[in-house]
Amino acid sequence: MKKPRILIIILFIFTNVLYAEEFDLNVYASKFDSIPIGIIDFSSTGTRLKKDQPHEIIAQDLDFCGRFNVVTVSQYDSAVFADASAGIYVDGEYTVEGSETVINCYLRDVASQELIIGKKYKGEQNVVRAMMHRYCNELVEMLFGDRGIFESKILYVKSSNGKRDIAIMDFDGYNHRQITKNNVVNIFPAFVTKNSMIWTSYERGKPDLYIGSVADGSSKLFIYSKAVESSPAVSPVDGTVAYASSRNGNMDVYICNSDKTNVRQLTVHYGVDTSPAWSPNGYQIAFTSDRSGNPQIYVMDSDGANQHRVTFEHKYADSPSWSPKGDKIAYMAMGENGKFDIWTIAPDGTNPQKVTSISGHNEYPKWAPDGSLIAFVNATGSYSDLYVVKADGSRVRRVTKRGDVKMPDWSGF
Amino acid sequence: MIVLSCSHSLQSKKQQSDFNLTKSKDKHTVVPENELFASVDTTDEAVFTEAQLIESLLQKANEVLKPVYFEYNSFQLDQDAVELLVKIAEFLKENPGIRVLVQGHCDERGSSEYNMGLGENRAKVVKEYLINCGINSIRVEITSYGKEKPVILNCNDQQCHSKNRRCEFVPLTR
Repeated sequence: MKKPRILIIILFIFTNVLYAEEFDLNVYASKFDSIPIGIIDFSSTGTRLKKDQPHEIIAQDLDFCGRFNVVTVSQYDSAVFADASAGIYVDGEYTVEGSETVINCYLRDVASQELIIGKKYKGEQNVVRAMMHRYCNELVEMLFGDRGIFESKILYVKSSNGKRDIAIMDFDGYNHRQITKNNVVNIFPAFVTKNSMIWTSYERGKPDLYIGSVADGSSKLFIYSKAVESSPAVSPVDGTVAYASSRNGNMDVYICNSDKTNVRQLTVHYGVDTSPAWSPNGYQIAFTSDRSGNPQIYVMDSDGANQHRVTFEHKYADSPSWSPKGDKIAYMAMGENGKFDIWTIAPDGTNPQKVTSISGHNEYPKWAPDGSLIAFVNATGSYSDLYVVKADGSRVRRVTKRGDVKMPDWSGF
Repeated sequence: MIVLSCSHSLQSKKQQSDFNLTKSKDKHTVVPENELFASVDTTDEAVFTEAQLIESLLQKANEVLKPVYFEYNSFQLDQDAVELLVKIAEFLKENPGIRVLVQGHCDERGSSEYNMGLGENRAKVVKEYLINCGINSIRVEITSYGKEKPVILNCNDQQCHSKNRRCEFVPLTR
């Protein structure tokens, strides 16, 4: 497969040094839960872009991540900005010359309209979205001092007409691309790095773990046996792979090194133990077990010690995902009416909170790399699509309208 | 796991295999099982490949190798399942060259991860039952598709769901 064109960025920082000292972005950011920010339509010299206007992408990104209160206007409007308590805004201009686009983005102070910081991006027209995602990441870094999610990707199972293939999209639901094309069932994708993945495929007539390229789907067998090998999860610390295997007679949680050596069986219960999910520091693993009679979330140390049950609220709980900050485990649980919803719980089993309530089954939670959002799948009738929600249950956003999205995995930054 | 003992002690009928991969002209030659399955890969490297049965056998296989159904969230064999498995065991005895893959499936409710385990448990009880009926374990492989390969998509009622909670039988190469 042809590699995507490399994004060319030229950074010009037009910081007005004296002024920058007066406007402290971090102080401004610390005053709000959602930071008010104005976005003004970008002007253009020469040809206008047919789609993906830079200001639209910026506004979508900042709104998506849940950390901003975005106000969009076609031109500077002090009254609208004042209404929204916006102290900063972005404007800019671009030029299109042949296939090349140059975009200037300016972050300004609403009160004085003075420039705080300016950045210039240059690249092919087909990377305008990528350039503006990069700009939004830089905005987040300026304001919060941490990284933005705007260049992250989501792997998922493309599920249509009973087929199951691994596919990938940008965090915001753009640029879908099917990766596997092997005419067998492919499920449980998980990122190893941003460019490689591990998943369960039935190429040998039964489920094994494969590792492959996100770019072209080229793959090799990783963990295999005559039994079921499923639900892989990669440690964010050292790449250790946790997975569920029934090689010793029934399904238990195992781990192995990233080079598939040193296989260790962590659970030895006669029940079904599956769905391992790493804590961010790699010390613990959340998993699902039906040892109590029905599936519930458990936590253990990464050597299998201290296995203990965490969820007691539900008849059925599965698909744990540990937050990047370590303070919460998201999971799917069945309510009295048989409907599944996303919940969070502290790893010590305290404070279970229902996160979703929209109609349909809400399943397969996965945290954004910065912990600000939880992605999940909403399944209604024959449609299943990706949504995101803040961990407190606010700001539910629909990400895809394809109807065929299952089992997402969110990449790192 | 509760495994029922085989309901009928099957008569050891005269072997009448039409399935004769040895290409022997004498169809009724009885080949000892250890020779018949000598080439079966029992290691982790084994690949489950569907066998292409000869015409006459294919028809009989299609008649007998029907899905076994289960209750919701259960892997216990009910009376219907047992009756079907007895017939399948008889068929396997009559056709000693055949191996089968038992694929466990679930309905579309619940989580994909947990249903992989449930589907496998269904396949396991089926295999155990066939072994109790005297079928050599080398002839029965198992796997699970969880809820990833429903017969009917997007069920809304119990009857529809019940069609998806099943074990299917696929003839395997030796």
